[in-house]
Formats: sequence, structure tokens, C-alpha cells
Amino acid sequence: MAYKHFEAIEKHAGLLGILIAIMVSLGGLAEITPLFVEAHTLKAPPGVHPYDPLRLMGKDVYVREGCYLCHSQMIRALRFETQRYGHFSTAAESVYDRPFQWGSKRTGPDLARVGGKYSDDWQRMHLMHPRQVVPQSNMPGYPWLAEKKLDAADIQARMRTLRRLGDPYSDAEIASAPAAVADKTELDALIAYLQGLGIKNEPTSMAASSDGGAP
Amino acid sequence: MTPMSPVWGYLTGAIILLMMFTFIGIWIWAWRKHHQSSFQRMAQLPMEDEPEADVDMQENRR
Amino acid sequence: MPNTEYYNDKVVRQFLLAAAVWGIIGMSVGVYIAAELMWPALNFDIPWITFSRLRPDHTFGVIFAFGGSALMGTCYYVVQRTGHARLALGKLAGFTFWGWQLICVLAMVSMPLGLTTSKEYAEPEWWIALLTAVVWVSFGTVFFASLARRRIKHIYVANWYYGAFIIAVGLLHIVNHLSLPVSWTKSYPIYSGVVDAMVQWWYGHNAVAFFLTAGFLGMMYYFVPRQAQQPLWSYRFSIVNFWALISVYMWAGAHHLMYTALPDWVQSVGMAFSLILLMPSLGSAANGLLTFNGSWWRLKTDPAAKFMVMSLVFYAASTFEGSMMAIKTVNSLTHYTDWTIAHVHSGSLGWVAMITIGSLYAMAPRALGRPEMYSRSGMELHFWLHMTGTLLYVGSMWTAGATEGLMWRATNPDGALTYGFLDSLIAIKPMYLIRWLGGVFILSGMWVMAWNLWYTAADARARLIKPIPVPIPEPVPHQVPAPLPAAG
Repeated sequence: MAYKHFEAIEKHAGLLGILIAIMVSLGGLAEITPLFVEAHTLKAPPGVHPYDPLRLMGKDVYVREGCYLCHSQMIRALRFETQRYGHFSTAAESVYDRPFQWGSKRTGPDLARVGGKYSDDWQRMHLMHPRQVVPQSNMPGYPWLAEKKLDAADIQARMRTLRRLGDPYSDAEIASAPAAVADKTELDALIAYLQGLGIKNEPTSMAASSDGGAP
Repeated sequence: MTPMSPVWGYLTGAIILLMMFTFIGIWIWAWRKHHQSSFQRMAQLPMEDEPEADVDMQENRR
Repeated sequence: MPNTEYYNDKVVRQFLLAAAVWGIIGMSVGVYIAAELMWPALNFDIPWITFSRLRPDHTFGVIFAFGGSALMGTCYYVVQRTGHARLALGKLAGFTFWGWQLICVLAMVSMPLGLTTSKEYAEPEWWIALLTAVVWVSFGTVFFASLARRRIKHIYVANWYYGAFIIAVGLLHIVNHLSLPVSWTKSYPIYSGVVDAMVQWWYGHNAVAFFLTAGFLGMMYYFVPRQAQQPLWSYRFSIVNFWALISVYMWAGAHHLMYTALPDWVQSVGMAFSLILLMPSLGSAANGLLTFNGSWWRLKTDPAAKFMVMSLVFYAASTFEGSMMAIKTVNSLTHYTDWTIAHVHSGSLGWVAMITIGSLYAMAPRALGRPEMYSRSGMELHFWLHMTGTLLYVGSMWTAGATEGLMWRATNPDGALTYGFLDSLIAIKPMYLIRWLGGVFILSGMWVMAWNLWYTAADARARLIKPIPVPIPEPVPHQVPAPLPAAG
């Protein structure tokens, strides 16, 4: 049989491998490269600051406990969503979210704008014993969060790592972190994080008209 | 979000066109007559892992 | 020349055992967390058995520990049989086995302790991810080195799929895990916000594409013709499908982020490619099913063939469903609901688990030195337990998902929302009970399989089995590359 060019592909394992790598990379390149390049032009809008130390720890507790598995933080641009949860989420709001917490499943409601909807005491009781507040809820309780104090050195290490990744923390902010979290528990941190959702990261221009907004 | 540069659209389009032509090329290649014999041989491979097969082979060798 | 080269089935047997054990562990966790959603008291306020800490253990356990072990084991089996050559680099192959098991144990222990990246299906922390990359590269090295020493001129199509699975998963894993560690227990990804979301779902979607589809299609393209005892319906069609599948799948990831803050054009491209994806998906399923043409009678006598046929039916159904769910208007109803859970499980329990179980039943007797499985009625029982469980599971979650989707968007004539969020949870509680019951059926089936494998492996445990010699083909004149002589 004559040796044909195309047949080289199915006779040479290395060539097959390289072609596979090229074919599978095209899609990712075409979709992610533009996002990646454009993302550098996407600056945090005025009014959105990186997480303060307490809320940063709260976010990391949120991640550690796996809250994202049942709660999304992404209000879609659909009428029934904005009616239930508030203004739809924008890209600018999550610029400091490492990793992003949009979620993929709502066994519980969306939390993107849960900040301020309930009192701190309600959040505390609900996180400790959900069914004392909402009898039909199937959310687990997280009572151990109230027992663990925050570790100031750990928080500073986290802020420094984030700064290396480009989040604008100043030396003064990192130095004052221990004072900000003194005597706070993980539960306090988580509540501070939840109460800031949709408030602390909302661009100022949007806050003026935050009463809904159709898609 | 600021509107994206239109260059990305052209790039994506070009890649899609390239993929389409590659795909048609693969289709033509796979249906060429002279491949049939090797394809037929390859298609037999899964049936060659039978216990009887190596009994025969061992007997032949002894 | 005497034949002194033998197939390396030891590593295959090890992965076979590991797959059976991890299958039971991963699905047990699944049954438990399903029970926690129904009866939240089962969380017992203990951190490491709380639903949100355990769910990554279920997904990792069934996808990477169970599915991964089955894929690596069958891959090593298939690359040897289709190349008529012993596996290359035997020691490195042994390392991939122990390395993979170590990764699975580390991940399954660390995630419930709270070490997580929170990226779905990529939760293990950075040092486990690093170890995974090392083992994965070793796996690829063994595979491609084995392909290089094959004695059959062309590379059989199943190996193309296994090759794509190895390359793409390696690529996805590394790109998605790029992060900066804070300590042994915490790291931050180099991406944030919308870019992180896109990278994660590019990974998440293509983990489904290349781990749960391409890898298992490799399994299908070898074990389906073997079990049907006839060649593929169309070999050349399988090649066209291969290139179409691997190049189109990568584009469709954006359908996980419809109506979100992701730019519109990316969402539209994702939707378009999800629809194009229908063709190679249905093409592969059709090719597999039509391979049984003329030997449908085998379904009466061979439960392994029954598993394979059902798996292909589920594959066709769930990829069709997936493309439909990627249409924006449909997605607005199904997203965030239990419909997604139904879709994932019709794919994983229907397609992935059934093709795996069918292939294991086909491969195990051969690898364990027995003419057939210990108990045919055990296989039969397993099939019906698995089928019942899958139908209960998928049916209940479809119902639950449609209920949630419709209740969330229902409005009164005056425009106000009809239901609070809690109303939808209360409405679907009975479905959670049925889903749990389905899980119990499936898990029982896995125990039946484990029992059956244990007795099939009686000879292997007593070290009675003989290694299988490699049938070295006669060299064809002018063959390039020339077949290797048997290794001493």
C-alpha cells in the first residue's frame, strides 16, 4: 500500500497526540483568550473595594464549608429573578472574588444580594440551628463556626497572597488586620461577609437605582 | 462591561471556518476506497481477545 | 521464535479492584448526602459529615476514583489488545496505579476536612492537584509509549479516544488549577470573577466531555464490538465522529453560564456549538447501537451486552437533553434546579456507570483467568437493580426540577411572584425521598457486582492464573514500522 500523507496520523502516536492537542485547544482559545485580554481592561468600578479582613475570612469560611453547593450568587437577567432577588448581577461585582462563587444549583435561595435582608441575630441563629428559624428548611447547621476564633497571622498571609495576585491591599490595611478581627469568631466573619453581599460590592452608580431594573 | 474589540469576532469566525474545512477534509479522507481494507482489518481487533485464540497459538508453537 | 511476551494484566486487575471499591464508597456517600437533603438531622452538626462538606466527596469519588480507576484499567487493557504488544514501562504503570489511589485517598480525606478550592469537580487543594498532574503525565507516558511499541500498523479508534481523554484532561486540569498557595490548606486562583467562572466551566464542561465522554467512548469502541462479537457498524464513521466530537465539545462550555454576567456573544457561541454537538454525540451512540445489528439475541443471554445497549440509549438521550438545555430559553427554566441533577445522573448513572459496568463484566473474566463471571444471575440482578434505581433517580429529579423551575417563575395576574423560595423546597420533598430510594437500589447493585467479582477472582487470589501470551502477528511485507520482536 502506498504511503499516504494522511495515514501518518493514524500510524504515529506522537502526531496523533499533537493534532488532538491542537483541536481541543481551539475552542478554549477562541472563547477564553478574548475574555482574558478584555478582563485586564475591566477595572473595579468606583465603590467596589477588595474584601476587608473580616469579610475576607468570612468568604473563605463560606468556601470551606461548601455553601456554594446549594446557594448561587448570580442573579440572572430575567424578570422573575430580579423580582425575587434584586438587580441582576454584573461582571464588575465579582472582580475580587477568588474563586468566583456564582454557584450552579439552588437548593437554597440566591445570596448575591442577601446583605441587609435579615438582621445579624437572625443570621446567627439561622446558621447555628436553621430549623429553629425556618422549620421546613433542610439546611445543615454550622454550630462549630461559633467556637473557632480567627487567626490574625493567617489573615495577613492571605491578604499578602491576594496582593501578589493583584488585589490592591495597602501595607496599612494588612498591618491593621489583626485589630479588625480581634476576638471575632468564624461565625462573626461569615455573617459580616453575608451582610456585605450585594451592598459592599455594588458599584455606586447602580446603588442609586437598585430597586430592580428589568433586563 | 465595555464592548469588546471586533477583532475577536473575526478570529473566532476564522477558526470556525478552518474547522469546517478540516472536518469536510476528514470526511472525504475517511470515505476513500483504499482505506477500506485497513479499516476492515482494524475493525476485527476487538474480536481477537478470545481464550481459544491463544490456546491455538500455544498448540501451534509446541 | 518462541512467544515469550505476555500481556501485563496485573495493573489491569489492580484498577479493576480499585474501581469496584471506589464505586461502592463514592455511591455510598451519594446515598448518604441524598438522605441528608431529605432528613437534615443526619448532618448531626458534625463538620465532616455535613452535606456541604461531603458532596465533593461524592462527585470526586464516583468521577475520579471510580470512573478514573475504571478508565485507566480498561485503557491499559485495550492498548495492549489492540496493539498486540505488552504494556510499555511496567514500573511506571505500577506507579500510576498507586499514585492514583494515593490521590483518591488524600482527596477523599482532605475535602470533608474543609480543604477545598470550591471549584466544582476540581476541589482538591493545590498540592493534591500537583500530585495529580504528575501521575497524569506518567499515565500519558505509559499510554503513548505502549502505542509506540504496538505491532498493528494502524492505531485502533478506541485508542484515539483514550489519547484525547488523557491529553485534554491534563490540559484542563493544569489550566484550571493555576493558583497561588497561602499555606498547605489554602490557595487562591490566579483568575477572579468572570474569568474564573469561564475557566472553571470550560474545565467543568470539558471534564464531562473528555473524562466522562471521550474516555468512556474509548471503552465503548472496544468492548461493544467485542461483546457483540462483530465489528463496528462503521469504522470510518467512528473516525469522523472522533474529530468532530473533540473539536466541537470545547466550544460549548459557556452554556453553563447562560443569562449570567458572561458577555452575550460567548453565551451565544456556547449555545450554537452545543446544538452542533448533537451530531457527533448521536453519531457515536448510533454507531455503537448499530454494531449490535444481527446479534440482538445476545441481550437475552448476556447481561454485559444489556448494560452496554442501555448505556448507549442513555448516552443518546442525555446528550440530546444536554443540547436542549443549552438553548437559552430552556436553560432559563432548568438552570439552578434539580433538572440539572437529573441530567447529570442520566449521563453518569445511565451512560458512564452502565458502560463501565458492562465493560468490567466483559473484561474481568479475561483478566482474572476465568471463562466467564462467577454468577450470571448476579449480573442479571445487578442490571435490574441499576435500571430501577436510575429510572427512579432521573424521574424524580426531572419532576423536582420542572416543579422548581415553574414555581420560581410563576407570577400572579398582578405581576407579583406566586411562591416564596421555601414553597418550592416543600413541594419537592417527596421527590428527594424517591431519589434517595433510587440511590439505594443502585448501591445495592454495586454490592452485588463486588460479590460477583470477588468469587470470579478466586483463581487470581490463589495466584493460579497464567499470564496471557501476546499473539504476535506475522510481519506484512514492507510493513512500516516493522513489528517488534517479543521482548525477552
